[in-house]
Amino acid sequence: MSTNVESWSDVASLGAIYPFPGIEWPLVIIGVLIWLAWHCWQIRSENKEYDDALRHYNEVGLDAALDHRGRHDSMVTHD
Amino acid sequence: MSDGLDSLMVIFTEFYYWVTVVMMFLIHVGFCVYEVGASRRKNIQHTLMKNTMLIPLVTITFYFFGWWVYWAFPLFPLIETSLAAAPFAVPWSELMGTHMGGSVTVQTESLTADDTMYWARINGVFWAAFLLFSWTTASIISGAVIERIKTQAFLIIVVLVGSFTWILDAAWGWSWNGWMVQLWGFHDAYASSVVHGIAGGSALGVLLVLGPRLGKFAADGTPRDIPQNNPWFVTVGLFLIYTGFWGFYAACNVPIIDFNGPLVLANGNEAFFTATNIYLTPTSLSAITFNFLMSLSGGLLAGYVVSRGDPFWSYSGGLAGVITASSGNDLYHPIEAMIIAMVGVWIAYKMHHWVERKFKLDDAVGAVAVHGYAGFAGTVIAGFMLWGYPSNVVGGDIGWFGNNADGVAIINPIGNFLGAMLFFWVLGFLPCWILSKVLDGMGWLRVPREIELAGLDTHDYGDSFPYHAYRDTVMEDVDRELAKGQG
Repeated sequence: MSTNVESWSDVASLGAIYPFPGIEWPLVIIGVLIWLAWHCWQIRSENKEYDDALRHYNEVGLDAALDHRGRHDSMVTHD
Repeated sequence: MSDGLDSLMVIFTEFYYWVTVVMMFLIHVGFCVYEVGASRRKNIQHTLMKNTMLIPLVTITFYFFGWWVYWAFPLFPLIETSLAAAPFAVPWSELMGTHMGGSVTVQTESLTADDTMYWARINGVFWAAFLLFSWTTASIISGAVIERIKTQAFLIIVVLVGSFTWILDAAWGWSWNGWMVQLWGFHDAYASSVVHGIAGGSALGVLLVLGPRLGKFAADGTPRDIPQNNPWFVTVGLFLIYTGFWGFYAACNVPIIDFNGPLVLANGNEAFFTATNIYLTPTSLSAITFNFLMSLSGGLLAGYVVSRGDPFWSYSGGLAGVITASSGNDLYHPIEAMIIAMVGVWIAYKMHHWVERKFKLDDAVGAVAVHGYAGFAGTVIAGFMLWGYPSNVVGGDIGWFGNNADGVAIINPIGNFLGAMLFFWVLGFLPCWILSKVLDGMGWLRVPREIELAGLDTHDYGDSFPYHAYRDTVMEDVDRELAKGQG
């Protein structure tokens, strides 16, 4: 393990004090992948949510859906 | 840092920006509260989460590339044909993390010891101050598009605006050496166009593709006033935005610098410590406090008159007033700021309703007007009001529309008009219109019709807010007619 700092006795000479200096590039790549993966997950999740709701509205009719507006927790099931 | 005075200045500057960041957080709180109040109950949670999730996405992308854009692009492409080196602003820099200012051990980038010491202290808070502007710019779009945009589309659009287009405009027109400042004499000290104009233009680009909410316009084209679910949330939200705006103004300044020293004029004269704006030209917190409050007051007074006391437009008038005067609020007399604010509010209010009727544009909270039209007008007005002032501290006689005796480009109406156009239309409207077209083509932009009618809160979150029965009922009848294919 690397803490990168073993003593505070010469603080003026210290540069980066986070652990594992030198892995900045891999960290950036991991961070960018997490960002892009999050968008992908969110898009799929949101579209599925609307598909589920649409399927339900088609079953019960849009007028019935409007009657229960604001109480969708009792109308739409998510698995 | 071993020199006492230098250390104090640097650590004071670090603390100063940190405080502004905390204050600016209130702008986002205000936007969320305000949009929740403006949404109908069936859409509240969607509205809230859409605007909330821009925080992490703009933050991480501003870390990955936004901060680098600000430092790499100021001279590109009209003064230099290559991008500037910004070794402290790339995400793999040691200085983009916890650092004590000693040597940069891992990298071989050309940073002097003084640079390293300075950026080790300032980088995080300076990055964060700009980041909070990014949130604001992106969040302005959020209110305009409520109740029908898909969250996925919004979150892609805000990355474009928050981490690229706005910060590119800041590099060009809101930095001490940006090419618009040096060549055009562009001046927009508190971001009328740099933040608000581009955000308004961006919102307009999205709105044109997105279309109005179902039921907003009757079959004959008459606009309907969709009632706010909670007007008190709307006004409290706008109050919070006012509060955060104090931090926004303070963050636009450099708090303390030796104006005659090596970082500014380097003229060998006796040290003169002052605050400056982002262009490194002198101002003070007192000056901008006078003008902030007087322009807020002018905006409120005018908003109350033009809307005949409507709370939403009176409060929005206060905001639009500050936004209009912001371009020149480092220099105006307070009464000038008040009058300019009143003019901007009148323009924003009239334009909003004219565009709504003429083009069937459904800007749910008036964001294009309050931020876009007011910001645009304020930048143009500043070009006339400040005509002849030196725009920056860089000489060289390279200004296209006039230079002063020191060879510095002067502020002028043409430069500010071109800047307002560039930000609203070229960097604001155009990229967002194109991106919205692409997203629309992929089916990612707008929720299906049935979802919009029944409400975007399809998820099983459960109820979260008291039901203001009358206000929603007004539009429910319209929704039923639309569901039957009428209306």
